[in-house]
Amino acid sequence: MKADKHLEFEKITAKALPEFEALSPGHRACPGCGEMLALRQALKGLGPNTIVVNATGCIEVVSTPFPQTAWNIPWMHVAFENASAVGSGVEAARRALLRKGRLTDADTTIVVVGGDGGTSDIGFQSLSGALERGHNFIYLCFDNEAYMNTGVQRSSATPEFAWTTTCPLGSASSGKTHKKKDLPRIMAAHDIPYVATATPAHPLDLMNKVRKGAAVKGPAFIHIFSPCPTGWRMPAERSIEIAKVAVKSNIYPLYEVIHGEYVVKRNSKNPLPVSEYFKLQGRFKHLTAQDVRTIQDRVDATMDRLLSYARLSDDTKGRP
Amino acid sequence: MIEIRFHGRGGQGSVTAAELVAQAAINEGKYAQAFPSFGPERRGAPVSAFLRVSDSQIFLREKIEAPDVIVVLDASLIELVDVFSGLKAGGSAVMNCPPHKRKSLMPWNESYRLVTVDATQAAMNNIGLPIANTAMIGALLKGMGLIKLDSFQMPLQTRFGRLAEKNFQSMTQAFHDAQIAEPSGEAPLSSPAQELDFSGIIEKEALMAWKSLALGGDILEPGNSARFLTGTWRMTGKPVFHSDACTKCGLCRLFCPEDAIFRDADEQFIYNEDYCKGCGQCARECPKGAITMEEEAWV
Repeated sequence: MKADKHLEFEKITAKALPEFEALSPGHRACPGCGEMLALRQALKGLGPNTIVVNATGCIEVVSTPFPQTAWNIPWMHVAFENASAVGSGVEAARRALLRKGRLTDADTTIVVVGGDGGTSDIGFQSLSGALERGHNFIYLCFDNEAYMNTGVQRSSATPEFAWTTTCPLGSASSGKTHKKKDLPRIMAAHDIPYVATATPAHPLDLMNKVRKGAAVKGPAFIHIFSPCPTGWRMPAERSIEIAKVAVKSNIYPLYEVIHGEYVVKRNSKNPLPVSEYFKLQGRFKHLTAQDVRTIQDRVDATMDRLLSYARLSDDTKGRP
Repeated sequence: MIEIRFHGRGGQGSVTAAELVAQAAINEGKYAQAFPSFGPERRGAPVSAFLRVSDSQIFLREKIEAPDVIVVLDASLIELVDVFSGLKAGGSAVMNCPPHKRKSLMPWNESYRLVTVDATQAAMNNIGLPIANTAMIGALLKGMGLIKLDSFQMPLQTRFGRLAEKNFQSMTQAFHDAQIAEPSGEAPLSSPAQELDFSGIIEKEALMAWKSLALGGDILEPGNSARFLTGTWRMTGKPVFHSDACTKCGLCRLFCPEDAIFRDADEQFIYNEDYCKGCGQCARECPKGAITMEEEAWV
């Protein structure tokens, strides 16, 4: 990847995986949870010098059934609305203390963790504000495409046509009628140094993207596709498989925006049809052929747009 | 008043079962209440639900510590939770149990009346899914009388819509299939469960007084969730590692949401049975097929 030249960081390879675990076992996530898996991998990439600020959501609830906690690193739970504001405060306070010489660990990474509800709906404005102010933290959005913690209610990150308990199937409703909010694109529009998408089925890629996020000065946003067997109505052993299919079918393209430059990973010249992705999940089992065509057209258009962004970024550098 | 405690796993529908019985009882003009008890645990975790049915108004609001009846939706729970805890002498235990496992329940039959049924099979036959909660209601009715089978038509319709009829058939089959064994009463009344060691598996729920909390509700011990053994959640089998096929790539470890796979002294990958929830991702993703999921024996 040539854009890596713009970004100095220590790469993790399959041969030298970090042993560090930020989370102890005994957490209460459902069997096969793609979100806790992605969280485990991401924090493995960051190492022990990490402070986590966690918005309400599945991760908070399953990791910390008071008075127990799975966290082995400093962790703070705050409300849905203000995780990014608290992350900003932690970062600003530490900057002041470092300046005064009362702290010396300048390498510590501050991570704000939120789900799709805590990021695209309730915590949206505080996140946007923090990115605009340029606080030096990584925001990890674990997107399982609905409010899974409270029982699968739709969020603005729920994809179109998906079943949830608040957009049920019946004579008056056949799943969500609105499109999924394109969070990484909105975050990239804040002109922050680093935005990326990742999945737990590509653990090295995920860990290295989190490392890049830590290496840049200023905010980084990493959007992590987090399969949820419970809410997506699929068997527990399919979380990784579904993430692989999501990438191979371009439902979830992997890309980075490094200092405004798009780097798109084009996984194959012949992507899988999106129907391969839908057929693995109960939440899409009602889709008509017309629905599938609608999504296929949109996915193709999105991929074309991403690739054209990537070419545009290259053009500005005078490359072909 | 009759007090019934349901034991199941998250996702098996124990809470729904208790609510359905309460609804049917109310439709018959009785008084009833149903409520669940669970923490932040997820699918597969042991949960319980409570049900009171009475001919007169019920003023009690607390959990049921000394039930007249227990309904156990998943007999593998017997090893994990003291499901017989507080069950009154001569009380009834309604157990979901395949016929070939029935014998293993006999020690409990000395003190308690056993109602056994293969509710999972009844559900598979009628609904096509192993969701045994409505079938277990059928066995409960066979064992206890309590409410007429027909009184469930309406609550089932409200709850399941299209699937109501199938659930009713499942309930009816379990009603007919359930077998009742009166207590043999020869042995002194003691719970065989007392011989099982539950310490270290089940952390009793305890509310802490505010004075015993750290300032700000801080948790001062990192990673203390490791005391909670999520291995009790396994429902669909355990991973078995075949070292001859393993190339030690380590993907299984990287793909375990619990961090429950590690290397033993001989550098072989093995799983930690204390924490593995049995999701099966390691087996599915192993590029060499060196991991298989195999059924676990219980009792």
